[in-house]
Amino acid sequence: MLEINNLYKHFNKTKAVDGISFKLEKGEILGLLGPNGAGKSTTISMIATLIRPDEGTILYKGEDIVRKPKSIQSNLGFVPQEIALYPSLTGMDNLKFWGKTYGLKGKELTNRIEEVSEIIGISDRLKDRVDKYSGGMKRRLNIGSALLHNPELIILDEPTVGIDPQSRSHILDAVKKINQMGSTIIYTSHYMEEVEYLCTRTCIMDQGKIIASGTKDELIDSINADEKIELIVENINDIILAEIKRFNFVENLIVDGDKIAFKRKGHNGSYGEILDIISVNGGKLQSMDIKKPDLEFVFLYLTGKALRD
Amino acid sequence: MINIILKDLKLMLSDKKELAAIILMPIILTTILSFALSGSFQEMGSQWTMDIAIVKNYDLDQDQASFRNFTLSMEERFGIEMDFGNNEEALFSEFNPEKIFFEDFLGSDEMKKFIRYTLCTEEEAYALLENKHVSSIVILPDQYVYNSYINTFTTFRNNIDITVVSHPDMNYRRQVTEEVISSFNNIMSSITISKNVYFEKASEYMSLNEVVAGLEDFVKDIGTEPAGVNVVITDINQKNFINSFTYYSIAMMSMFILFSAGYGGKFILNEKIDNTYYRLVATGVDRRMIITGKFFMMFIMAIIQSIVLIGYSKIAFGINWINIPLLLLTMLLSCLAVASIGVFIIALTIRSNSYKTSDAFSNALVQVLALAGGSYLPLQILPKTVGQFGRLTPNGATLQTYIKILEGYGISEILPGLVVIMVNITVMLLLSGILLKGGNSNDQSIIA
Repeated sequence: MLEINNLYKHFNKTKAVDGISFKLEKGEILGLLGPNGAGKSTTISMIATLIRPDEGTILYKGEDIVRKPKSIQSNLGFVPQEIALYPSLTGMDNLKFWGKTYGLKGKELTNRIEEVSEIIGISDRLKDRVDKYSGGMKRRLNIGSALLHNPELIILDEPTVGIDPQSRSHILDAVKKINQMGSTIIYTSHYMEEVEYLCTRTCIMDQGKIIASGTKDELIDSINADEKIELIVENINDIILAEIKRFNFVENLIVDGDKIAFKRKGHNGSYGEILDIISVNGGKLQSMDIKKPDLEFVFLYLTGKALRD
Repeated sequence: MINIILKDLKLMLSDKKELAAIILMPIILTTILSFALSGSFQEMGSQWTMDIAIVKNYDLDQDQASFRNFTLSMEERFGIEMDFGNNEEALFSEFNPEKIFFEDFLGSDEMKKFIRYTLCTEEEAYALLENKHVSSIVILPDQYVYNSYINTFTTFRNNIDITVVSHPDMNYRRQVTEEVISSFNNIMSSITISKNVYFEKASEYMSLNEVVAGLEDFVKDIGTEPAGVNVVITDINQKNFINSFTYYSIAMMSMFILFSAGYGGKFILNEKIDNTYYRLVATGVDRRMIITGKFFMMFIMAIIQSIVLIGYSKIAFGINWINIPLLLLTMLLSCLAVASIGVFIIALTIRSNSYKTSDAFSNALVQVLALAGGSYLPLQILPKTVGQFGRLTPNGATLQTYIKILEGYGISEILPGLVVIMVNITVMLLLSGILLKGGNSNDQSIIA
């Protein structure tokens, strides 16, 4: 559906996007994950025809949108990072305006406004001025305004920045629902858990480059990361420690008071055997914490910095 | 396009404060200025008369005696016979500068129609002026008559400074008084110049005594019939007069519609600040369409303002807009001119990408145009150059065209004003096109 090849964009001497390539298949939710300044917004601005790339091609259904921006514009729902609404107009006026801008009119427009306001959960506030809305409601209307024409491709640029957990949850559910209704989605965020929850595939961006891409499991596997296990045990003794050390998958065993920590190496062996050893040798297990690597860990591993730095 | 225009109008109407400023401010200002400056416009109709005070700082008898002494001294010292047919009294009555000024000039039928004068002392005159019982004081200087004789009957030329003192609130009247006095001076100067020419030419063929002897007849010829110079009073009976309420209704309308132009820049920046500009571009709306939408929004706003102010002027001041087709034509063109200025401000705003530039420019532009175009003070009062420039401004041309329509003129008389407005529209749109074509490296969306 969308194919991006060797895309470059400079702003003065800064490389905002540095030769990225990726493909997007119909029905996917592609996450662009990266810290602020990674090049996510510049990338989607180029896809949304707001910025012309310095080099590279963006093909939408085989058409070069740099040369023919119209080929994507009518099929695109663009939700910018900042609220892009008319604050002194009502929610209804905003939806009507954007719907008409996309070419909807009459009954079709009325129906779509009804459907979309239902999806984003603002039906009961449509008559209010937007400047009276909460931050979360503005975000939802911001998304709704891009859905009216039932676009094939929707780009959401950090749609949950600065809102309350309830609105955030509402937005994530709405995005899922929209995807299930057939739209393909590009979702940028620096919230790892959102990308993990929503996206079928993720591109991790840093300093204008895609440093890794794939499904969540593919990304985690790609860095060969180990699980970390922490046990809190009463009555730790030398026999227990010696027995645990004998397991092949236990590495870097550390004892700190009543805490035993180690890294798991490989996929063989079970934790049940370790729990038996503790119990048989007079120890009493208080708690067990298995820390699996996540996208945040992958990002940290790949870039050497935390996602929200 | 209609969708964008309607949205912009809704935005404008949703801002109650701005709306109040656009509609109410001109109404309030019109009312205040009309009352405050009514003195400048009082009774400018066909029945218009003007009261002036005249101060005689000379003594007629003494001046005539001085002139007699002068003629005698000329005979004694230079042997020039200044004998005007042994009938000096007849000459004095025949050529009497006082009589010429008061009876022949101010007392003429034409002048009596619009000037009433009171003879008084300087002190009394200033008191009358202070109380606005007269609009001006004309002070005839010391030795006025003596110097007039010297200028007329000898080769000498003495300065005669007639002073006009006016009340600052009565500008038109002051101008009329100045014109009247200067036209009288022109008559007197023409006599002096003619006499000097006579002296120069006659002395080439005659002795000095013969020249002086012939002077009497010469002066009689030109003096009693002042060289065919008359004060021409334009007949304004066929036209309506403009009072301060009428003037400021139109002046405020011409000025305040200019503020609609400022909204262009403001709205385009709001679109950027609210990020809707980028969203519009992403939806495939052409930048030219966005600007055209703003153009029509400003045009419609200016039309609304004009209609409200015309309605107010009719209801509140009873102004009779007699020629509706011409009124509509002028309103249409003036509002298009406003919208084209607005597009120019939009172009500047896009180039500068700054509220401050846009605001400063639009405010400065509006103020300069308002002042030069006669919205605060009538063009006739402003310095000549400013007045000439003002007539070329869109609001100045609009104002003058509206005045002509109200005075009862037809299409041929208002056509030059309409042409000026159309030229303004063309120039503004061309400049905007040039500015927008130049693009802006700061504005990424413009590239798309």
